[in-house]
Amino acid sequence: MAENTKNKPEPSEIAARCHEIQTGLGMTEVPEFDELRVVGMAVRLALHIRGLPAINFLTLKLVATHFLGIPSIGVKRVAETLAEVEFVKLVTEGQTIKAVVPTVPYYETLYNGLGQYAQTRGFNESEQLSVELLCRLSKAPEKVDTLISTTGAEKKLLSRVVDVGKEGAYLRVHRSRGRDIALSPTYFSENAEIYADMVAGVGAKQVQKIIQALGKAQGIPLSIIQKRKEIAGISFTDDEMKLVVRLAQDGAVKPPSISTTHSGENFFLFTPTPSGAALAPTKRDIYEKAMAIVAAVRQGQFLPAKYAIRNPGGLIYTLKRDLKLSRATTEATQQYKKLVHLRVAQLHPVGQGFSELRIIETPENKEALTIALALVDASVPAGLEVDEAAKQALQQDQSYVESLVASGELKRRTTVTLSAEQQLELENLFLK
Amino acid sequence: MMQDRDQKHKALKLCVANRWFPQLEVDVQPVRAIRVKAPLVTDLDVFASMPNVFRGFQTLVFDCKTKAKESPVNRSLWLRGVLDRLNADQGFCILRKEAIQLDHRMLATRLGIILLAEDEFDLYAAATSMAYKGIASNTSDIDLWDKFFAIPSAYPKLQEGLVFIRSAYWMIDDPAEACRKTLATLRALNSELDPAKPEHLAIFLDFAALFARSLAVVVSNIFKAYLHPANQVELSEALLTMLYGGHEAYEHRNQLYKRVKYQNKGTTPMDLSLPEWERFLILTRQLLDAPAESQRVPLILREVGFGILNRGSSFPFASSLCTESPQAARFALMVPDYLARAAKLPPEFGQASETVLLPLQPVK
Repeated sequence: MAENTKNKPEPSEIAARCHEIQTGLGMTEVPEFDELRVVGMAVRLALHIRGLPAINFLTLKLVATHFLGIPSIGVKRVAETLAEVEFVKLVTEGQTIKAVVPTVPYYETLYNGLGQYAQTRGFNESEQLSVELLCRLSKAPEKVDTLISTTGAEKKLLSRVVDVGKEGAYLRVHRSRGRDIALSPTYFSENAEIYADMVAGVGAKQVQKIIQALGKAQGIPLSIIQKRKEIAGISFTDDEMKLVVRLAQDGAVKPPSISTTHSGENFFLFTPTPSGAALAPTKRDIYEKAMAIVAAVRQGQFLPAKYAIRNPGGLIYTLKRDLKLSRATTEATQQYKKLVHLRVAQLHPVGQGFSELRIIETPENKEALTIALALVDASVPAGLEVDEAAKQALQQDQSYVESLVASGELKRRTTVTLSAEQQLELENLFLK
Repeated sequence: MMQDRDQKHKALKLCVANRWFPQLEVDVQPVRAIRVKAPLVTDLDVFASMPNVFRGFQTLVFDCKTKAKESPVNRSLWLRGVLDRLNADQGFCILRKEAIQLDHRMLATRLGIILLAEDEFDLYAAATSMAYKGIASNTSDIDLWDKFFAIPSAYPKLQEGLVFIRSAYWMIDDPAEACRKTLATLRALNSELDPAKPEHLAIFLDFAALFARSLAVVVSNIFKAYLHPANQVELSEALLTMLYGGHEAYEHRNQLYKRVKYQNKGTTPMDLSLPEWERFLILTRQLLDAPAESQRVPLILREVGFGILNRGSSFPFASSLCTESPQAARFALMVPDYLARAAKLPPEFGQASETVLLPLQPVK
């Protein structure tokens, strides 16, 4: 299979794809994936521990399992892999790892190092095919038939790889114009024309309407849309509302989520394109951070405890300029907790329940702020009022689930039933 | 036998109690010497580097004097000259004299010098540092300094290294130049150093401490100008410019280097940079995570080095230094790793340092 590949992916791209696959799959078991998962987990863990002093291994295990979707029995192997590429040093006692001292490099060296490791270790057939498919689909959607003929993979193997990809929400197959078209929802932003063409061909005005509306109000909470049945002054019918949820499932609008103990999860909706810019494979985590920033700010805008954020763009601009907010608030702790988890910012308590938000200064975080600013600057949506019930729930303890995982979870949990006509319309969208 | 031993010991203790990085008995050389072997100007009893967030380090000179004959004020005038030669910030003059004229003290204070009688030093030290009385560390153990300075008598080939540690290093004004020269001197010793000998390990770790000291200043300067460079190219350019004394100076050296190195070879010439440049970039970028903490690395490394010289198997004081600054502990692990590779030392040097420094990493 590999010899048929015209352009062998660069090590950094291999690592980035593994990261994507692992992020999508989370805890889902895929028996045929082995090294690929380890490399993906290693990238993920490395990104999160970079720049930290020594970490107790038990703490690392808990965090890795809880927040990063790395199964607890896998953490040791991942840590050993990172030690092998000299991204961490291990404090051991006999066979037991006591602590991990991160020496993870910055910039592209991270992806290069793990990509080269992946190349040396070698992938099995399924893994190679998955990485190759993802590399190709990140550039353009392709016909499944073409994939079979050009990769030389068996049809059975390919369909299994595609199934796994669907489960992980990093790959989709749509039947369109009588053919199966595979595409990567993660990189949909790069294929906007093709997507537009697909929907334009069938006159999917509803889909376009929703995408356009979302573009004007990036990061709006799904619950608000459901409640108000409108985005930025554009109102939706019940059927269109179901499409919004459906689009969220398809990964077309990547939803980061905030879960609360009382009201379950709230999803914040984004269009596939970060303000029209193409997303470099290694910038994925930066975009995730940007979405998290916007989600946090949107929460303060639509669902605050007392004082709503009136100008989200101005607030992000201030953050970008000063790397902190001008004053501490009582709402900061709840509102920005998820940014702390993603290591975008730190909350400094200043007494009496007030906390001050300070951005952790790294190139990635600054870039995330730039993207976040572009995301909210599209426009300030009007006419949306505060939802008291949701607001109450959001004041509770929150845990943040990163966008891809959230997308996968939404898919697993709820299958929205569409009306007969809508079903037909959607089928037509992708069938013709 | 070392002169003014007791006073020096106290000065060392004060330094370590305050987490300053002390250097015992620094030979001062003339700024621009005419002779190849220039006669020494003087020697300093203790030269201390105090971490400073903005400047990298502030420096202090302790002058210990036993002679009762010399007038204290004369001594402080002399010390002022020494401070100027070394761009130092503060002087201490410790004298075996019963009464020092108050007016002389006042004058000395205006010159940036604290005049103290021997029996007053304890009072001064205890009042300015809570930890002074109970301090127990290898770096403040004057017997270990004796042992350290005596290494060349057993291993004469290491004499040059000791001269660098005791004198040459401290005469370099520019931190980037000091980084380069520390590495170069260590490289010159690489065929003599044997990782199986604790004395050699101690010398290696002392070189690492000096390298870390200069690197911390370089990092502090980079941080002030660039904060966190946006990408590797930017960091690389910033470091090269700084290490080789400006853009023009670098270009000049680089051209010479390429001409000499690739004279009759068809290979693509590599640009001039420190050995193991990629690793150096990674190390520097890590230090930029906590530039102020990187200034605490030298003391950790010297403490561990002296502990090895003392045949110690546990390092309680180094461990508490690491607990005080977990980031410095992490950096202390990385600096010897880079230095051993860049100086092409036997790999055991890096491994031995790691064996000692890894268990010192504070784990919550």
